[in-house]
Amino acid sequence: MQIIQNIGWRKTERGEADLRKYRVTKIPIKISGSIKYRTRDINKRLRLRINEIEKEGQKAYEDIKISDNIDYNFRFLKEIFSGSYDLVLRPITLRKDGKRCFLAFLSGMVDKDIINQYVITPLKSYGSDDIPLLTSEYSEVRLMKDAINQILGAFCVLFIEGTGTAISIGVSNIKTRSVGEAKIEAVLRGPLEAFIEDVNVNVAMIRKRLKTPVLKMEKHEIGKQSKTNVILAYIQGVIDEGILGEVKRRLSGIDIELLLDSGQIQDFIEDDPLSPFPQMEVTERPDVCTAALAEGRFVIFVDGSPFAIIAPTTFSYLFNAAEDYYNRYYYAIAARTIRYAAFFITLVGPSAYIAITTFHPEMLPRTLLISIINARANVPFPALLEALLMEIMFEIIREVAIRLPSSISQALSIVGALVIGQVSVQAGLVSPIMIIVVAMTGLASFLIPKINSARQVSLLRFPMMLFAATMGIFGLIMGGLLLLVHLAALRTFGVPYLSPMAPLNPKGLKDTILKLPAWMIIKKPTYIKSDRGKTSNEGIQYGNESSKSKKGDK
Amino acid sequence: MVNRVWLAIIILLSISLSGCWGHAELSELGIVLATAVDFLEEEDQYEITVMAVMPTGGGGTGQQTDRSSTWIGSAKGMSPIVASNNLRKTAPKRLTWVQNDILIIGQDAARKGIDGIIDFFVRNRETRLTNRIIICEEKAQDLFLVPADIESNLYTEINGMIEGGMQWGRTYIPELREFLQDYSLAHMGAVAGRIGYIERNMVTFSTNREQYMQLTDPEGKQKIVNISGSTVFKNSKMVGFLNDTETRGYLWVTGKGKGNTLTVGDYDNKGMIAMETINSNSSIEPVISGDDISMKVKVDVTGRFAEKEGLLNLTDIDVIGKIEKVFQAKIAEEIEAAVQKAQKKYKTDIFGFGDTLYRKEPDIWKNVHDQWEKIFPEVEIQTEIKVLIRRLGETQSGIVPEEIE
Repeated sequence: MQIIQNIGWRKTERGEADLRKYRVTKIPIKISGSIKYRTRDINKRLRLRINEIEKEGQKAYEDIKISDNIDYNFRFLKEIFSGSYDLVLRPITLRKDGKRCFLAFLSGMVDKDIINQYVITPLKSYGSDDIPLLTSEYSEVRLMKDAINQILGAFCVLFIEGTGTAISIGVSNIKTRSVGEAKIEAVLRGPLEAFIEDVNVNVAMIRKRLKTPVLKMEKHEIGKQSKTNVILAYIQGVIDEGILGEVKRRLSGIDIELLLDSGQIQDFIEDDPLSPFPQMEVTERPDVCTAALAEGRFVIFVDGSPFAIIAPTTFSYLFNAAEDYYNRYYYAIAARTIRYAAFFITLVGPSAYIAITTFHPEMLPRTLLISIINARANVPFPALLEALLMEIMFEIIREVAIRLPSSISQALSIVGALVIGQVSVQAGLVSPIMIIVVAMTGLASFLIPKINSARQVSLLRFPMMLFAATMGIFGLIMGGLLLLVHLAALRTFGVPYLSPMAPLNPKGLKDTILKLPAWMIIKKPTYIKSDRGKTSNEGIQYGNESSKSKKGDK
Repeated sequence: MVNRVWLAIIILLSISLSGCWGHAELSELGIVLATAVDFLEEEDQYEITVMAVMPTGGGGTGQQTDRSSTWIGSAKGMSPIVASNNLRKTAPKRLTWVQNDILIIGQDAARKGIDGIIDFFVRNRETRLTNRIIICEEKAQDLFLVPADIESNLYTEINGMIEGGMQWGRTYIPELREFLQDYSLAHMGAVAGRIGYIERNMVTFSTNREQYMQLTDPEGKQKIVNISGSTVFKNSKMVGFLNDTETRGYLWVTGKGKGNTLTVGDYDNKGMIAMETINSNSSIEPVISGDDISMKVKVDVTGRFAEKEGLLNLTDIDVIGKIEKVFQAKIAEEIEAAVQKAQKKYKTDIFGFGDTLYRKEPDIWKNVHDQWEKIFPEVEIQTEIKVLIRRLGETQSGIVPEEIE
């Protein structure tokens, strides 16, 4: 008792117990119960445990209960977190009954003022049987694993001598960005706020828009190392049960070490991860998520990611912008039509140029043909090579534009505009017509509102170019058919990807290419439901997914 | 999964196996815009002349010019196909007919018979049925050598003349497709376009001072291309030309005209009046009485008053009625001219009377179709013409008001 007091509980304010002292001392310690340990024994047992843990990771301490012996707990934590400067173990002696206890927390993640004022100060004046809890969040833990997880989750954990339990107290104060404006899905009209990295703030943004208790926010913990909080949000009674069961099953099957962003979840639970078309949409806008929830879709938030994912997402959702619903509907219809056209241009722009100039010069009006020939007269490359050259150049610029710090982005526009645009024409590398085609295609590819989800779709133009270069328009049609077949076969959580267009759902069409006035649109699209129950589709659409989940279960 | 990968590989390989038979880079092509076919009597050979665009580009300086060099090449051969193959000997680039739009046939070739030429143009994959078919009064090749006035090449000019001529009913230049509809019927003649020259000492390009000096030189007579009238074919051979008026008569009867201007020189001793047609419909009815076959041609014309001299109160419905009568007579006159020429001179049923008879009175046609060639010149034509003047144009009675009586 004396010795322990020497090394910490009374003397060392920061609670940095010197373990080496423990190791050399051989004097037995008396704990309030009748069990006696030799310090060396404790050290030996602990050492063995730690060795085991270092070898096997978390599994080794999965079932360790919090010990009655507070020294054991103290040193266990000290060893587990060895090499981490930010772990604070603060010994306190309860004034009333003289019981020893200590607080464990990670210094950067908690609010120390709260700990001082509402945890330490009251503790000093109470006993172990009437511990005052002045904070709103607290829970009791019995397993060492849970205690460690709580510490890592920015809780402050209070270990009390002789109880075999610990109390975790919510004092979290992780610094996050404040809520800012949506940058990727910017709108001229409509809510401007966007999600941030803190999942609790994100959830609150949804809660304040949907004031109903049937809005469920299920918490899942995914990632062996990261133990990331993943929130599955849905509205009970609105979401189709088939979809809900399916997403829960898939979430539970995820086997991943580190989960940093919602994009990784998407990879795991998408129906066809090999498809170029996204079956889930990514958004940073709370209003989009809220609307999705009300439509009977679910939203997944990942702590640390300002992007939520929404599913089931069918093809037509990729062309819906949040603003469509806030503007007059004439404009929305026009904008959507242009978006679909732009998608088509992106897909077949360069390939149509290749096909027509190399296979079907008869398709062009005579004067246009002559001016194209004139422009191309000095280009040394065949049309395919010319197109590939420019398209790859464009992709490079696009990638640079994303990676480049904004302070030097001036350089990019000069290089982009001058070198690519003007000089390559002057040098006779490409024809001006090709520049127009590439510029059109490039611009059009940015017009898909869900650019975040569908960036890869624009890359489909490269295979289309090869099709066009080998077989002309015929090849282009073949390529288009392949895409169409793929799209028609694709399903997202049991919802056909092309619905409501195929299979046709006339009511759903009110909000696809058309966007009728708000009062004409029914509240919930009827096609967002799993057709998994139908026997004809059983076992087809989830063949890929279920095998993966099984692996995860093992 | 493995199967799918194999399937994908097989599909991808099959793409490359299919080859690129239609593949040609634009810079390798010579785009033929117009083709002329002549028959050389002395050598008993066909001669094909093409006008092709072989662009030179801008020279890589970044300043693209639209200057395209027109390449005119010709080759001879015992048949059109041989001649066109021989053409490739001298052509600097691969010639392609996909954009060919004008087919000009020399009078010699046309009189010899155009079966071979037509077959060549219909059978060939590259040529289109939208080619305009025109017969040249002289050697077609020479036509291509006439310098273009204001456009970069003669092709564009001829094209413009065709458009203009068709608008005003001075000529009829069918597309190959339309020509073949008549051409393919036995007992029926076909009509194609007609092209020639006129000689003038003033040409139609815009002038600068230097050119103006040349123009005022009385010796500077130049040939310019002129499209007017049409050509009559009988059993694949050309039999003769129709002039402006006869062509118009033909167009009234068949309803093929796009537009027209009718002018009556002297109306009511007051001066000239003219009318533009807005719309014209025609129908042919066979009238059978005993053994006599006659044809009733109904023409319905809606028009716009276009020009007048002298004082006429056009707001008076009676005056308009009289004017309409005058125009009706004029149309009847033009039809008569065309019918006369077809019946008496060429003895060719270019109007499709036989075809009408076949469709409307098949029993009678069965009896007469063997002798139709003899019967046709004797068929009596009745005309029933209605003219309706709907609009007066931008002014009512004219600038000078009618004298108050």
